[in-house]
Amino acid sequence: MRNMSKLEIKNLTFSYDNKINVIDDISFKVEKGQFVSIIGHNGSGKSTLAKLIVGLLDKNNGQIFFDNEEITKKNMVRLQSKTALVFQNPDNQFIGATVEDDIAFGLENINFPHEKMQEEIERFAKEVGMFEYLNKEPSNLSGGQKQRVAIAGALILHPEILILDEATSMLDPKGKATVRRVIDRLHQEKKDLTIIAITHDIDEAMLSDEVLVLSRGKLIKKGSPKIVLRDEETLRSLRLDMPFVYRLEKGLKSLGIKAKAETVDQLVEDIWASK
Amino acid sequence: MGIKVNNVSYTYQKKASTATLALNDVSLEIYDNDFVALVGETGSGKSTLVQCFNGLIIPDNGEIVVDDFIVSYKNRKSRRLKNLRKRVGLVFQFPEYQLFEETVEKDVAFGVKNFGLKGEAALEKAHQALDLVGLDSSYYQRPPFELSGGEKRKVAIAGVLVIEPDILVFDEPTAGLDPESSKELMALITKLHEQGKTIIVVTHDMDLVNTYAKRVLMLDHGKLVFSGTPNALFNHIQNYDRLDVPLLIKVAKKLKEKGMDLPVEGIHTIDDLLTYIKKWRENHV
Amino acid sequence: MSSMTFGRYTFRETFIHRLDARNKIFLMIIFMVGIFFQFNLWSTALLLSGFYVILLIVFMTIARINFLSLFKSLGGMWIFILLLMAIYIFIPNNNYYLPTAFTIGNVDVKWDAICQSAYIVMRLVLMLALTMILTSTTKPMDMTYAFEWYMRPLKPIHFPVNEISMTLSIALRFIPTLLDETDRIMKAQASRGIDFNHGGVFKRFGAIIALIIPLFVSALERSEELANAMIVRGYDPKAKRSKYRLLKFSYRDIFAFLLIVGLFGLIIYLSVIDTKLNPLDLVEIIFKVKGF
Repeated sequence: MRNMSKLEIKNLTFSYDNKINVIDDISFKVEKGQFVSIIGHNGSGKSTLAKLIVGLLDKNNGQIFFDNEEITKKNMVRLQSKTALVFQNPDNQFIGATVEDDIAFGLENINFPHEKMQEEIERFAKEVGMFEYLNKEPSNLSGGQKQRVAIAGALILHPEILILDEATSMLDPKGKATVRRVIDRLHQEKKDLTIIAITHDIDEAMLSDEVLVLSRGKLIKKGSPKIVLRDEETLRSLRLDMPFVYRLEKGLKSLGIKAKAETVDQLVEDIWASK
Repeated sequence: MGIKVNNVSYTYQKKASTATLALNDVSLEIYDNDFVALVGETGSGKSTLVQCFNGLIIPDNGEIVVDDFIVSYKNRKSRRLKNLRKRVGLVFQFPEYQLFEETVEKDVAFGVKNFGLKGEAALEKAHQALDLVGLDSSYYQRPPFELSGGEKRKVAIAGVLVIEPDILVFDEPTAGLDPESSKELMALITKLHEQGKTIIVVTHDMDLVNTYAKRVLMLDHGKLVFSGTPNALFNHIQNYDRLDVPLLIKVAKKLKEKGMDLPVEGIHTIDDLLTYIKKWRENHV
Repeated sequence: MSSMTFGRYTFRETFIHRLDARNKIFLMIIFMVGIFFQFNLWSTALLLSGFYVILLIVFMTIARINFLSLFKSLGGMWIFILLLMAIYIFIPNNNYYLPTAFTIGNVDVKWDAICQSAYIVMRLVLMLALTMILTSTTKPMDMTYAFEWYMRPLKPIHFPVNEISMTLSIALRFIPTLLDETDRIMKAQASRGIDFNHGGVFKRFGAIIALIIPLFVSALERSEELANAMIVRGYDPKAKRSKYRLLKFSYRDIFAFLLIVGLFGLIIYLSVIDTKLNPLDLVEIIFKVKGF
């Protein structure tokens, strides 16, 4: 029986100027309900990949499959409407005059019946914790709040694949934390939702089920964050650091302390136990 | 060169109903060749305060003394304020938005041109500044808008460095940058500090504070609530669960709670921690 | 920048605030036309003007608008107004046969002139007050929706009503953002030594360039990102779209409509009978105003 994957990329290639391949023969699969993170240095093609998946850019070569159905010119609109993309800049994707207007934007686009809008909007605003802010204007909102509104606006169209393109990189620590909490909750509660998070934040990548590592347009590593993010050599080639807990873990190893922990508390226990 | 802040207060939109007291009788001192991190929640007054340092904002009350300049309400119309900006360089958050010239070198030279330098001399200074931020001559003639985000930021910073101020203020210098560019930028700031400049970094990033800053000043709702070393701050802000303590410090603190003898104040890097753990194990064998 | 408070929308729940934006625009236009009606008799004209002023004061009170802000907003206009009055009053224009009010030096100030200039000033102020009432009680977004509604008849001729309306609403939404950005850029450039306040023409021109170019570049980048975001969320201007915000007429609108249109009818009637009837003899005699 053919394995049914949510998203499959086969030999995807793309170039902006027909000289350098920004995406160079990439292939991978993402299962339904997975939370995948894509990491890579600046210019590795991460954002371009996101745009190719949702159809903002046209591939030069290769195939993209949603639920084993290949995307073609004919079914492109139907299939790509299963995806949603949240961008990096909180202001430049906030279209409505207020929070509720912005969340409504997606519904308006699909000609959703007016009578049912209020209820849907309130529901999704609650999902991301922005219910009390429905009538607030974007100029009075923080970055984290605006990004949560963007997520609500994306979710309201019931996407099957939610892509986040460096959605937290312009936020302050508080904003980052609130957005990450929302994503984490979504992943726990919506088992059918496939989430792809593009990030350069290694601590964020730790939260995902699987990590894809991009370098110069190529997919160079794929696997559980527990393995991939302990691979110092690969990370160094991307000029990325290991997550703190793994760095400390490595340092402890050099002292002869065996620690294999994912959290600060576990590490502390391991250190203490080595007495 | 240092900065003395004496009883400074400032209110935004004084006449409107939305008037906000941004700075409330703030007094502090920044020493010559200091490396200070200015922290606080969004809205605590950090940005307002640093804009007083170079005269962009004039306090309603109190005064700011920088060398022989006094920034105060009395002096607000002084033309000398422009020259204050030669001494205090302010780099805003996402400074790449200030680029406008046709070429990189022209944009960087723009700063010194405003202070009297012309033609070749100005370009020469621009080249030096670009060299400082790590952009070689291949960048000189390129249009700034062609560059990547990280490169643009370097050009913008060069545009302030070219004026050769004694005091440099950076507002969230690493915002939006990937880890490697962040490190590069902090290395540059460290180098500038070693060259004798007084450095003030406004930031939310506690790891940055822990790793680079010698002193921390914390503002809350326009008041100065803390002045001291980074580690003393991390002890202090157990009450402020909004600002996140670096994981390194968390580990150190938890170990200390368990009974390990650790000088939490002395731990700035993982290596520091490892050194103490090693000592501890040797003592307990 | 944020001191631009003239006519800015302030959230209140007054009768006028709750009127439908489309209605308000229409009624405002009707009222304005009424203001500019010509009458033969000064008596009628001035009395009506007085009536308008009272009406407007009533409206402004209902809408909880601060009268002080109206006068403040006139600002530099006062000089212009005074100048206008002075021109009317002091420049001779073959009206030597008209009754004189008083004399300054060897210049005769005519009643006619005084009335004329007062009338002009009154109409100006009325117009401004009316506009202010509209803008303070109507959300900019609602005005956009109202314009869109009024432009509907142009749809069959393929006038891009939806696109224009979308562009307008996005532009409105970004005004505070752009103002903030202008502020930021100004401060950043000032930190590099630009002086926006002093210096000769060339220097200041250079200063403006350093402000405008970054603004433009940033606006262009913004538009591109926005467009991508809109596409990704399914926006298609040609497709049928529903609306979250709908303007609804209510009983208040019917009441206001009848009131103003009724008044307008009355004004038309008055202007027609104006030449025949003269109910204000008293006023005429006391002030020796021109008329018969």
